[in-house]
Amino acid sequence: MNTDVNSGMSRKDFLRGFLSGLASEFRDVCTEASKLPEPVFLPPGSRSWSHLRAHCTQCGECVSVCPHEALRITWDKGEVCEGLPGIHAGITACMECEGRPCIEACTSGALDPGVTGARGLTLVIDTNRCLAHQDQFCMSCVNQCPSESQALTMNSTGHPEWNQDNCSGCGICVQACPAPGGAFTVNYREEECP
Amino acid sequence: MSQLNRRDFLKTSAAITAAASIGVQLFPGIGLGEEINDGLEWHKSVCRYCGVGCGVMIGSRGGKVVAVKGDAENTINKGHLCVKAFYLPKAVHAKTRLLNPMIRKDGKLVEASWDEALDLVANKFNELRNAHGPDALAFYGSGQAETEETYMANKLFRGCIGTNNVEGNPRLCMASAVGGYLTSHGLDEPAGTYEDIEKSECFMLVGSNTAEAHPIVFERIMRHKHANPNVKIVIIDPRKTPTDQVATIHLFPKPGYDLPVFNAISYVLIQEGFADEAFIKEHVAIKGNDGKEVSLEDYKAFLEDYTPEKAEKISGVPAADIVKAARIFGKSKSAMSMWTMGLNQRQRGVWANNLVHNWHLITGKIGVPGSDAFSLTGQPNACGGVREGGGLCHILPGHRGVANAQHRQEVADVWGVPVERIQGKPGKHTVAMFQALNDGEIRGIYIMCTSPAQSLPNAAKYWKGLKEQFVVVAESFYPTMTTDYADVVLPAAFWSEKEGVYGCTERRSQYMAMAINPAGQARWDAFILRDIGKRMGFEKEFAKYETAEDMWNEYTSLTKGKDMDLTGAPYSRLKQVRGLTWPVPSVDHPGTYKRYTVGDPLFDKLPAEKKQGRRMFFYGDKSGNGKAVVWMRPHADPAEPCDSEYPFALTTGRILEHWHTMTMTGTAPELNRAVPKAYAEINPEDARRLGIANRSQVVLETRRGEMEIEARVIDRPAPGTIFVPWHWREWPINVLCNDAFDPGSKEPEYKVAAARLRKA
Repeated sequence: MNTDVNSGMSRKDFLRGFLSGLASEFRDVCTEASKLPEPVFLPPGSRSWSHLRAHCTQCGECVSVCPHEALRITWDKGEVCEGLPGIHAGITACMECEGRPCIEACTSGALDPGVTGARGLTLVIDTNRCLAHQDQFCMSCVNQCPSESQALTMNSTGHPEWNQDNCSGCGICVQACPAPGGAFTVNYREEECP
Repeated sequence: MSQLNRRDFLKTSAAITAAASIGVQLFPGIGLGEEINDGLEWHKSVCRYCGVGCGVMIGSRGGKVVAVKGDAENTINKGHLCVKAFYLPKAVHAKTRLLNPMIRKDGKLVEASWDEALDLVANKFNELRNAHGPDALAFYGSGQAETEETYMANKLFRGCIGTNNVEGNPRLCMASAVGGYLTSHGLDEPAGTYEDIEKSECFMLVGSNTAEAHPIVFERIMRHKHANPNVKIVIIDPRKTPTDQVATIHLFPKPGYDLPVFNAISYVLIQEGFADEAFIKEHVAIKGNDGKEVSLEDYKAFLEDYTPEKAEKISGVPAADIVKAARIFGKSKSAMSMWTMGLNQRQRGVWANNLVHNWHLITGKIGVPGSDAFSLTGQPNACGGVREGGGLCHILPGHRGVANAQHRQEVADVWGVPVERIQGKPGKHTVAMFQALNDGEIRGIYIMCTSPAQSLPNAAKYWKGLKEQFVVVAESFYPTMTTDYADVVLPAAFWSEKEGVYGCTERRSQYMAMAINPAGQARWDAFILRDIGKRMGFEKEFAKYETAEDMWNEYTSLTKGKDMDLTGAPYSRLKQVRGLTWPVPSVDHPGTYKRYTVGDPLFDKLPAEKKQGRRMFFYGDKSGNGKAVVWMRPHADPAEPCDSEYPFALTTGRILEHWHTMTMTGTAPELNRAVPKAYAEINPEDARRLGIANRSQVVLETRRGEMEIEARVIDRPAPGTIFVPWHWREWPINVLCNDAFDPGSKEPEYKVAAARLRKA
């Protein structure tokens, strides 16, 4: 799976358009240096990555019923979500379908309709990449956040701020972000898992 | 991996491109020193997008535009830009740039030489003109064209071909604001400038989603409010928008039923003693809807039909909210009203404008710092090129009118054409023009820098004329919905590939530098028009224009002594400064902040006995009394009210990330990813009732068409209202819009149509 689809699109544009004739070592450095890890969000109803790893049987049902192809298996080695279903919001965010077909389809109970909210998520806005922080007025994440100005707000200096209390971990902010390479990274608090 | 250190790496184009654009550290710990500007040339210009007029610096290297950043020295935006501007370099070098002329042969557009294309256009236009008269031809231009371009088109069509069928898309956008200013103030465009923002205590944002349609103006308001917590902001809009994050109170009138609310605010202002009766007596004439002057007592009696309670019955806005809003306006020491399409794109758009002007005229909140009735212009050069340049069917350059014989003479003398060539009768306004194209009355049309096949209201109705008649499209991008119908397509140089002037919302004319050469075989629109003119036989009329400066100099000579005097703004000056706000009657004049009062050279010039110690003199008042007008405008229903068959009010508009028909913003993958498709905003109550789930497909229908579209269930439109952004040709919502128009301004009522909705 091409994990570069998200930030890769704009880098590829730059590379194609502006780096013609540049040595490949420059290209590698460019790619390496400007790459943010791809943000992957927990599937709906999932408590944590370690809980998911402990209980998910990797049957693939949630992935196949997702009508937006937002749920995908992560193939990156060494990632905390390797081999597990996750929301690859750089491609498509979770659209929070009514009736949560993914949770319905889960055969192992790893996805639980009672488990909601940010679930240990920390959404990090990279102030070096976020356009709003560079005086390029942007509100895409704030405007599209389904919490309607609860989880993501614009503060009085025109910068987005995130509040985990109202965040459902859908990743629409990541999909919407128009900064080159995206401006978000996603970290999850890990928990002990029985 | 390479052992290159990061400082070396910064010399790669990609890093320089991104870093130069946003001027910051891409890589923590690395300072951006001189390396970043290595080999980059910076050119002072203006953003290609909205009517705010942000100053930008275009960074070029090796013949390409590689970066756009805000001009830190521009007073409008002080280095800030919105996300659209950031991606302008992608539009400049997009694969969709039109590089060669094309002629339709056997139904297909094929590449042709400039000679072949220009000869075809010139010969065909002459043939049509000779066989059917000059009014068989038409020009449809744009508020995004440079002033010099519109000036050339105006001369060719009006002064040479001899038709007043000269129109532009500001007819669809700003005509009602023009009509409002002309009837309320006597002259077009705001009395104040953006400078009033940081001086104001109160903002009335009426029919404006400022956060998305005029982002940098919104940002200034937002920062001003944060620095001054006493600042209050009233929003009047049927829909909650991102602008609401600064709202003190939001009034939600039913779409098309807001005029009573505006009158009710005036009622409260007078009732509760906020009217400035001395100001009214000296500066204001009050007129009935029939144009006859009446007394203040008559006005008070008229307003009895628009008490807050009565306005609530018609508009749905609670009376208590109307009173609150009025008191906020009345109590504030200064107040700015700002509005845009919500008031203009209405079948009583001029009336809506008048009623907002009334608040300022009855309280005297005008002509002083922080107070103004400030219409926000949508496009970057609707003011400069079209309203000032005379690019509508009834006007001439320099705020002149075709009906005025002296005006025709003045323009004919400068153009060097016989005055009889310029008709005294206005030509066809936009909707009538495209209807005439349908009817075959107009047989040849030149469309420049706009895409009416997508942007006209009730758009599908007008595809017939575009298909059947001779259509020339001058355009920078291909394909568009309009080039689909073209017989000839001419590749136009794009922003940054040509110099010229844009005049924005606040009367500021700004020079845009040419940073690179036009792509492919593209040529500057003004030269294309000049050369067509020559090939049509108007050699001597066009031979003299060798540079953009020639055109600007001739045009500004026509503004000498007028309210919009630009003679103090030659290129030599505009290249040095960050624009000039007219009137600027000489090269040592700084430009004008407030019109109609001290500091306005036309006001200062008036003899004392005329001014009689008054604070303001509205010198556009044809009666000579120097008064503005408070109009007693009644409520009028929208042209297509909701009914049992079509119970929803459909309204359309813009979003932050995309611009108009997306020829430009659609070239940035990042902007496409941010908002990839159209959607219909549906209130959760309505969605629940109809069983419509968020992100599901619905069918939206009006009497003019239907479309399948994704539902966005969101608490933004009030119940009963649906909002759809208009940018995508795949979801051409303008097909569903109503082409009924304001009888005064001829501006169509995009903002209200009766619609129905069902699950797909």
